[in-house]
Amino acid sequence: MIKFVSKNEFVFPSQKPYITILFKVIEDMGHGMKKINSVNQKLLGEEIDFGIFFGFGITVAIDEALKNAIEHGNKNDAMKKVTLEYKLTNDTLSITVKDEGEGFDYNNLPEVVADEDSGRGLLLIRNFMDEVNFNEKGNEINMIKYRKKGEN
Amino acid sequence: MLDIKKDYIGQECIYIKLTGKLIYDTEEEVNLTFEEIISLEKNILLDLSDLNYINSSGLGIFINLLKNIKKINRRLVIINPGAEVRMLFEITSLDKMFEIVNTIDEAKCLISG
Repeated sequence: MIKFVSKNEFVFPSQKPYITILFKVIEDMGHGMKKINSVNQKLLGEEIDFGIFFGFGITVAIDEALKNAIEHGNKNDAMKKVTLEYKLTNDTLSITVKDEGEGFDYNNLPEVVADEDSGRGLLLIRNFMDEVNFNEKGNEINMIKYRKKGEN
Repeated sequence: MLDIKKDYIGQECIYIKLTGKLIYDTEEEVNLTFEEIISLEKNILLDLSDLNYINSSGLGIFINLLKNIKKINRRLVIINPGAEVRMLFEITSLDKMFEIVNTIDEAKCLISG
């Protein structure tokens, strides 16, 4: 089988239209990886669900992380940059989003209130990813998705 | 990327159907459409059956619409969100805040009943 590690980094100004462009870039890479994966499936003769790496939930999680970085981190200041890094292997997808803002206290987030606007993004991220961690300052989020949760 | 269809249903309702993705470059248009509809002071049937992407900002737009329509004592009924969009409503507990039905007929009954 083909083992792969695909790492990429994108740095872009804090403007939302870039998110749409990045989606397409990531989607294209996903198509490439899916080809390798279908070869692996034939070699191994087993069903590997690779779709979860590029499905709806992952897209929403990346979207929300980038949006938070632009809005809450960099306060929509186009001079400040957002960095999106990801590492994709046969079994895991790890995504890091970093902004140039002051960070936030992720241990003391107010509860999400149904009709308030904030906090919903992070709620979605936690729901769709297997692991979510912040750096100490709170301006960098790392999200991990395992291809099959709990399996090596 | 996003198509917005508008129709009158009877005297009291406006039917809106969003087709495509509700995302950054289409948010503005949806906001404007909703503002315009609110000013007509009718009930809104919002068909999401062909809306295939939305994020928390998009949900925020719907919440705003709901707040505004309550202010003018009208109702907002959401029709048939697809499995993925419905999942976002459930995760964020918004499914409890909105009236969500499966068909246009159900929505009409709800409004007239």
